Amino acid sequence: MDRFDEIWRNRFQQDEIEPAPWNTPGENVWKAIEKGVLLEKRRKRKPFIFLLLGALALGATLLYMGLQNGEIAELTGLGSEIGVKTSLQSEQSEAESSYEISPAESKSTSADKADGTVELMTPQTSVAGVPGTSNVELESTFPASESLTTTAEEVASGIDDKPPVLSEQQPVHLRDQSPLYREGTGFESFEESFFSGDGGFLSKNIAEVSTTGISATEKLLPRELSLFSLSDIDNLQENIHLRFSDNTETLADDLKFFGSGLRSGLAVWATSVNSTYREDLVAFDFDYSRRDMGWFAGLEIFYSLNSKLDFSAGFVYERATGSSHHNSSLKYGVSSEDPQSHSHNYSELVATPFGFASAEFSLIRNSEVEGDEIDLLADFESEHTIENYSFPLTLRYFPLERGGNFTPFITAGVGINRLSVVQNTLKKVDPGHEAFDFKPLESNTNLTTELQQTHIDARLSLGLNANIGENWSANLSIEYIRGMSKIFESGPYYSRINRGWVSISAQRQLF
Amino acid sequence: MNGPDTDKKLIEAVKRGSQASFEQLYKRYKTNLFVVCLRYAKDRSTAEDYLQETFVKVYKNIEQFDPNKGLFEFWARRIAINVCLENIRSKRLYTLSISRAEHMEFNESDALSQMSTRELLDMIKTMPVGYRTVFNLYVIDGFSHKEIAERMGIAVGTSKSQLLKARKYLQGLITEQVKVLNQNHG
Repeated sequence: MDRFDEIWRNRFQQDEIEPAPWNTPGENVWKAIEKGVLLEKRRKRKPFIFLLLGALALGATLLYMGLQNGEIAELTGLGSEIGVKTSLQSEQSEAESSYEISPAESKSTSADKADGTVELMTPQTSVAGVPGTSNVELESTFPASESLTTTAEEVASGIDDKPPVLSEQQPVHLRDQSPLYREGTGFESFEESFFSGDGGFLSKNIAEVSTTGISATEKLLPRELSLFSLSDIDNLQENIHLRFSDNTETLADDLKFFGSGLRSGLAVWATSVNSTYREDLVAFDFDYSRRDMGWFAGLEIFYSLNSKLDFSAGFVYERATGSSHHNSSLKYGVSSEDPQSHSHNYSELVATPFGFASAEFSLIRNSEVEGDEIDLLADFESEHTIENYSFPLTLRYFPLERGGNFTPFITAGVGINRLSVVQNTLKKVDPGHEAFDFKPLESNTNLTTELQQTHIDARLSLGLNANIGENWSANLSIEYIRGMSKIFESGPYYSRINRGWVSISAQRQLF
Repeated sequence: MNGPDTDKKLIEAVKRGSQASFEQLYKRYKTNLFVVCLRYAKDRSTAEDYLQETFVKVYKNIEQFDPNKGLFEFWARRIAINVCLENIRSKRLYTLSISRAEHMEFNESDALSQMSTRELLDMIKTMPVGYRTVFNLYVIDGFSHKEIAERMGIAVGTSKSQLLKARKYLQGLITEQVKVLNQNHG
């Protein structure tokens, strides 16, 4: 390299270039950079957004599937009910009788033969105008046949001798007038009445329709006495059983419900800083931090999985205020101070558990000091206000079934959090030298954004649940929330937010 | 706290998403990097565009920067140079000058060393883009002719000839300036 090149290179590469108007970019440049950076951040966030959307879609799908299953269960119950009716109708159809019969206030009929070997359990259908009937109206174009009215003895003898037969050309309409027969509940009463009653009559048609008792005694009834297809009865039996089992599910379904609640309480934020690093003090060294106090309020929806387990999702807003301290070194140049006010203005990055806060302040020299450059070890005290949104997903377990006056519960879950606002106020700078006084220049400063605003926690709570009215309940709980992700990290330090909540909430069962 | 330590902490903060720390970095290096851009750009406005693009690229690629392997300033300077070259290439600004620089003997190194950085920069900016780019890359930024040829998509010989012409062009400007100064003093 010759002398010419060396001069050029030194001038532009090695020599310090003092800022001057000609080499200072315009203000608009930084604004344009900020826009570019914002676009870049958005681009980087896209995968996260897609993940979040994916998780939401998955959750919605699972929820939908859960709802669908619930509906299917209900439909299955309804379907079996319809199935019974259809079977009944089918039986009617096979008999080519145009009667309509509904299981009314039927009672099991016990027909003891003389030898006592056969016990028939048949439903009793009360027929209007027929002795022993009350609620069933017979609509018929022919007079009530005695084949429709018979005693237990007649039943037994009739079976043996001449099965009671209704003419297929003689339609019989039995319309149920019983209040016990109605959509959805008629068969329950039918079942009850069937197995508990006595007396009645047996006819081919009735037997075909009123099936359950007969199928229940299928083994006891001599085959040759069967006036109907046992396989058909088997089908009906299945339907009946399905129906009964659905009744059980219906009862269980009653324990599944959606609800919503309002929740509020006191929060204690304990920001844990992992390191006790106390080496040479630099601007980023933490000294210690204190607990912050605050409050929170939120909404939640829950889904009761059974009498002991709830799943809930919610939205909670929190606000907390606290303070933290740290030490840092400052230099005060006497010769370079403002000659009028004998002061120096400082623009520092102040360390807080929630990241660095830019702070501007002034140190005023109030008396003479020795030397031109004074090294100060300053104590910084900051007050910060934090706002946080969280989306908790929890399972609540009632060791004792809920419903009592005070039912204990335990919850466990996770929370997705977003720190929305973190404001820092530099309350005090103690320069550690009596010749200098602190003067704030800026009251509030937003924390710098090295803060990881989105953070995850795990939460556990204990509480009591009390019924306070129809569909209403109140909860009192103590919750510990452990930060699972770092909200701030610098060198050997990282911070996590742990919180303690004492909360009360009111919940209402919606549907 | 010295510069590299501060850089390291600021960069770590930027990596975690700190815009304020990034602004601090910008404030620390905007002057030096702007001068780089001024050297390559035809005017101030273009240099500002280059600077903006440089810092956005710095932010975008900050994860790749390892403070233990080198100084941030060198890394950022390389990015700035790349940005300038990309723009020059994309806009087909490499219309390598075929104008003949007057052959002049250069013995005015004292005069050169007395000139301010801004005066030197103004001289650079008066050069045709081909001269200017090769001169910047070779003399100031330390690239070899082979590297320049690869980056600019030209032959090594072209790079050498452009440099020769650039030198002579600048020497001519300096000589003229010295003459003017001598006349003023005389």
